[in-house]
Amino acid sequence: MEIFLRAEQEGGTSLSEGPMRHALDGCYEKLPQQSRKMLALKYEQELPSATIAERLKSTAEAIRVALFRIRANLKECIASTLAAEA
Amino acid sequence: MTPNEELIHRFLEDPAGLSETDLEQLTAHLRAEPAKAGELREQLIIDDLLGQKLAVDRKNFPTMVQQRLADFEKGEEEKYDQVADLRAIAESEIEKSVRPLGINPWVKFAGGISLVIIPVLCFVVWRYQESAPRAVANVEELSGKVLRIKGSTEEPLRIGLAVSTGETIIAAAGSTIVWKYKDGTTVRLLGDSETRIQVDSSTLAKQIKLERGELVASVAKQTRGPMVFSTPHATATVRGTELRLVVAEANTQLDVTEGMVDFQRNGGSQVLQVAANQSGIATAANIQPKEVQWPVNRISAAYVFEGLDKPQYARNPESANLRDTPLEVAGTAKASPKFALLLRGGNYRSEEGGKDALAVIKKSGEFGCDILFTPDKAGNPEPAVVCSFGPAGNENFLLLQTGQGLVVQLRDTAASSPMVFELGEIALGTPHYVSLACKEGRFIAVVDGVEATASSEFSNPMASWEEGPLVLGADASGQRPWRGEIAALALFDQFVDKPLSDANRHRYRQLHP
Repeated sequence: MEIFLRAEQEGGTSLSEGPMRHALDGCYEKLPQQSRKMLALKYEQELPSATIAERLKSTAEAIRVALFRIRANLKECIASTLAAEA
Repeated sequence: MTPNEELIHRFLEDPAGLSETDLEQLTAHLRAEPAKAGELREQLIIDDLLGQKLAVDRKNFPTMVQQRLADFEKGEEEKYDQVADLRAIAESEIEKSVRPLGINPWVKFAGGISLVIIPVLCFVVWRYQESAPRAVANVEELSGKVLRIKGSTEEPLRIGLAVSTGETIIAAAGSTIVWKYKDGTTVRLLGDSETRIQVDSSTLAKQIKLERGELVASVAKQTRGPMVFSTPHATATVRGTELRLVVAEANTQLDVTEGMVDFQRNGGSQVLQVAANQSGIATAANIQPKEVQWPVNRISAAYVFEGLDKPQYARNPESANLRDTPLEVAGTAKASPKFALLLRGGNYRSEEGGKDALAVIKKSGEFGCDILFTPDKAGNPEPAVVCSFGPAGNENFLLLQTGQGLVVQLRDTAASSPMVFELGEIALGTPHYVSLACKEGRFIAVVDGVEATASSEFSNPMASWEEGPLVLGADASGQRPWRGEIAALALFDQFVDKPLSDANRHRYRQLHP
């Protein structure tokens, strides 16, 4: 958590560059195909959970939970990457 | 899943989608479990990173071109038909250029030339598209006189019209306009303001240039790049937040309600990060944080009482500065332990405050009042005056409580009796934040964040309002005494609409938890 937040602060005014973003790129590549598909629907196409759920034959609640878990996994992965690089 | 976990998931999905009750529940939960607050923050950071990563990916040139062309196909076909034609030609030529061209050297030559010319042509067309006016938002609300200037033409705006890049929008004093972008971002331009609508030429990110006056913006999460608000003194850069900008002659004030804004003085290198419930002020010479104040629109305050431990201010009609104008006690009234006005038959009043406030209110033609009070548990069985403004027997404005009922009276010169607005019932013994405002054509009253009454056919009586004292706890002659506590009062020479009322209420709660 500490290393994670410190990296966030060191990232400056934007997170678009810097160690966290670099770590995210690597962690994103490690995600399963289904997770990346869900993130694409959420962040690239900016679809609400209800619409994603329709497409993936799920429920909005399940999609929200799945996205939460994907983000939590990414956070763990980023924190590990940053710790290893420190 | 627990209800609190569900709330967190819903908040992550759409922070603006939670009701006030949900937000309060979520806040209480996070306060009780700091670990959850940390977890939520991490989720928001990852959310932001993913938004940026995937948005950046989208900015790849071919995708952007397709996106831009798709935009035109959606709504601007007439203006940009040639783009579609050029695209067809370009695709056709590119397709030809990768096929075996046979042995004719002229065909090879034409193919080679097309490979050079077509990307250049596409680039030129793309740049043309970006410099051409684009309809970016629609007018959602409008009152008063608002003009748009396009080149040398000038026309009044009205609800439903689209506003485009390159247009200058001028709201006359007392007017308001709200325009809404496709992503839900809204900009509310208040009276006596001038702004120009733009987009970044390479990313199409939204831009607003506020030359003078005041705006309040609620910015949805931005994927094309931060939305930039520029003024003659500074630049505010936001990805998604709620903010208010006020441009005066010598400075620009930024108030942030939600999120974080990068605030930078023009010509300066220092970036001031202004977080929620913080303010910054930029002049030609410097930029610095500003003490958070209640009300947030203090620049429009005609009178401010925020506790007897602080000075009471009235706006000087000559200089427009706030000056110390203390309340004076009359009868059985005293300060509570928290410096509120404890009223048990007496009242607090200010002759000078009433006089100064009336002068600026009449000048603007708008009136607003925010008041925080706690009615006595025993109630006020007879009509009792919480706040009075104007001469005895002919008060311009009265806020009355009878039993649990709350009523506003406004002096109406066109009729022998005042206009009466019932605000409903309030609980006794608990604090209430009441906002009311009027201007030509509109009246609104908000009680504890809920719109209690509104009228769009309000005939403004302010021109004939007369000088008289500002009195808290009785009418101008000291009659109809009210029992309870008054913690704060602000009068404004501005129509305080509901978003501004909400911002003031939250600010008060922030400063007086």
